[in-house]
Amino acid sequence: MSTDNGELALDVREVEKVYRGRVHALRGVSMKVRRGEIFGLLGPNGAGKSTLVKIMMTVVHPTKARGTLLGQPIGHKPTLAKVGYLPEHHRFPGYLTGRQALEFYAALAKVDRRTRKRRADELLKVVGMSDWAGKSVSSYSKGMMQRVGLAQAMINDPDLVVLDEPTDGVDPVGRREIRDLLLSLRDQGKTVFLNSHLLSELEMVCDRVAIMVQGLIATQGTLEELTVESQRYEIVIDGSPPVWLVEHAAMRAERAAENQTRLVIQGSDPAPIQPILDRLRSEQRIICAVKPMRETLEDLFMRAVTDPTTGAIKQVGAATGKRVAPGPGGGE
Amino acid sequence: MTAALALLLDSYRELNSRKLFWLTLLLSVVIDCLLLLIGITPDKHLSLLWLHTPFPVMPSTTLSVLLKQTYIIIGINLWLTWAATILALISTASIFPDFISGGSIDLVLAKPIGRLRLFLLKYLTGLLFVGMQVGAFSVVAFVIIGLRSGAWEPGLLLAVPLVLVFFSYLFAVCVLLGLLTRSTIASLLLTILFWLFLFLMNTADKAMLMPHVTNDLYVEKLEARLATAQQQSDSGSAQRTAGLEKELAEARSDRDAIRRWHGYILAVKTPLPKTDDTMNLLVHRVIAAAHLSEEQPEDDQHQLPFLTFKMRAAGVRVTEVLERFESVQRSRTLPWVLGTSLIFEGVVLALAAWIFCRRDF
Repeated sequence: MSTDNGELALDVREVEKVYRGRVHALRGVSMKVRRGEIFGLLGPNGAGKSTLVKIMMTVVHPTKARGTLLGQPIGHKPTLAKVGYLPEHHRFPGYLTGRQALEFYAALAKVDRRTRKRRADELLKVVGMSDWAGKSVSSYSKGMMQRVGLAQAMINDPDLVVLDEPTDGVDPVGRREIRDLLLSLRDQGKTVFLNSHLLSELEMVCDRVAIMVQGLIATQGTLEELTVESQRYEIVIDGSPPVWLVEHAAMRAERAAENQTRLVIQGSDPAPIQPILDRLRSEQRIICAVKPMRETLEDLFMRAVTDPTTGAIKQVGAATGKRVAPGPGGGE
Repeated sequence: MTAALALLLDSYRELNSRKLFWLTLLLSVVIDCLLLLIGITPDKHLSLLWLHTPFPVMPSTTLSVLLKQTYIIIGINLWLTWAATILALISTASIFPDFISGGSIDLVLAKPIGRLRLFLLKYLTGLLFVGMQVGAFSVVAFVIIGLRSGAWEPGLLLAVPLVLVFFSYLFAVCVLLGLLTRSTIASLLLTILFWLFLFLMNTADKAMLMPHVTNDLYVEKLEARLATAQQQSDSGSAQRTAGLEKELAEARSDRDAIRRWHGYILAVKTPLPKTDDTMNLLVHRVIAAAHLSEEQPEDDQHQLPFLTFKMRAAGVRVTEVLERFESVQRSRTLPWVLGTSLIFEGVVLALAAWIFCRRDF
């Protein structure tokens, strides 16, 4: 029976995984990924990201899991025909050539013979591996393996592409090509689920992100939503802070460069800064810069992994011992 | 079906990439060439190509018999049973540890194919190695024997299914150990150790069977002599009867002790795969199918270790012992030899499949 609500590519609720009865890798993860978006999952090492992805892909059995993948219950094997997956540190059999590897995994995904030959040629071209298609994968560099791995994840023309560290080992040019590829997938209406440590790259392509810490989703949403509290304008002026600073409750001053002051105004609305700029100009102060600012993904990430009470980085890795209830930041 | 064919093709490519696969095939060709080169000279000596060897053959031996016997002794007993099996184990031991290694298994498990189906397909394609090797070897041997001697014996091809079954016992154990240890070397060494254990059990069985049948015959002879002595009424019959009764009691006691120990060995052996018996089955079936007669020793020219002077004096003959020995071995039915072995294999495979299906990779 289909439980597809049409909008969600992934809708998981209360996913738990306990390894050997001791290690709580996932402690009740809930997450929604909409169709046609690029979704980024990030978190420190051992946070449980790969375990969650492996549960989605039936590589790991969940201790508890509810929810759907492309409208079907998690673990429904036939649905995987519409999912492409690139695991972290993937390894193709060394006796296959790049083209043979693509055709082999396409056949396992039940792609017919003619289509898989055509798709293999097309995708090898897309990832820039056409010249190496007939060579054994054992002769490939890590970056080349990653490119063929990406082609493998798309060989079955999937609706959902799950990529675990897709740019691992890829040079800057290759990374840019991969980013363009991901954006083109989104333009084709595909859903992309990215699992990565490279925050700057995720920031460039992701529509929505989730941050996982110690087996729980600490926060998730669009970058806009997640950084709304941190949005501000910064005005850099020459000289000391204006004397009328105290009249503006939403404004504070910081020392910038030598003999410069940075005025910080909270909020994303540009209207409140106009009278401030007018007043500065009327005082003939030199305005060096006016910048809309917000937290970067890295700031957001660091905030999520930092204990607000102690200021220390939360313990890396999955929790051991008894299950801990999800914090207020977790959940959907 | 697409996935099954893909796995089949992948296994072929995997085997094809291994030098050992081709080395084994080359050695099979060398042994087949032996069938092409040997012959019988007009003065009934063995010839190799154009060379006359000093080894005489039996006057009744024809070229057909010589070729079939060579196929059985060298092809089956030496090559397929031992050397080719060891090479096949070395070649296939890495199939599952490689298959379940990190980064490799994820790609396969994330496809729309059930784990049990995946496991069984991988197992069956692993048997492809031996199937191809034995198939090629036996078919070529069949053709050479047919072309050279005119004896087209399809029975020679029985080697293909029986060697495959024989190898599958060991491969199932190797797969289970590969899944448990995730190591090619560990699974290979432990499988060979297991095979050695089976060999020792078979050797112990044979070693106990010989005194078992010898003592059975000895008791039977004594019982017959006692019955005869009891019917006689001459002056010494009472003394002879008493002597025979005493000897019979001792013989029965020895026989019961041997039977008991042999029973223990059989009890251990019964649930285990019967590698030796399976190959014996093959040799007997091939001999029968190829219309060969099994060599029988000429009586009393041979010594048997358990045939004592007292037993010989009681009328136990070497031929009788060997016939009884062969008869007991042949009485081990197909269900006992293959059935119990396949049940063992099934249990081992079921356990391995359960581990494969339940494991988090």
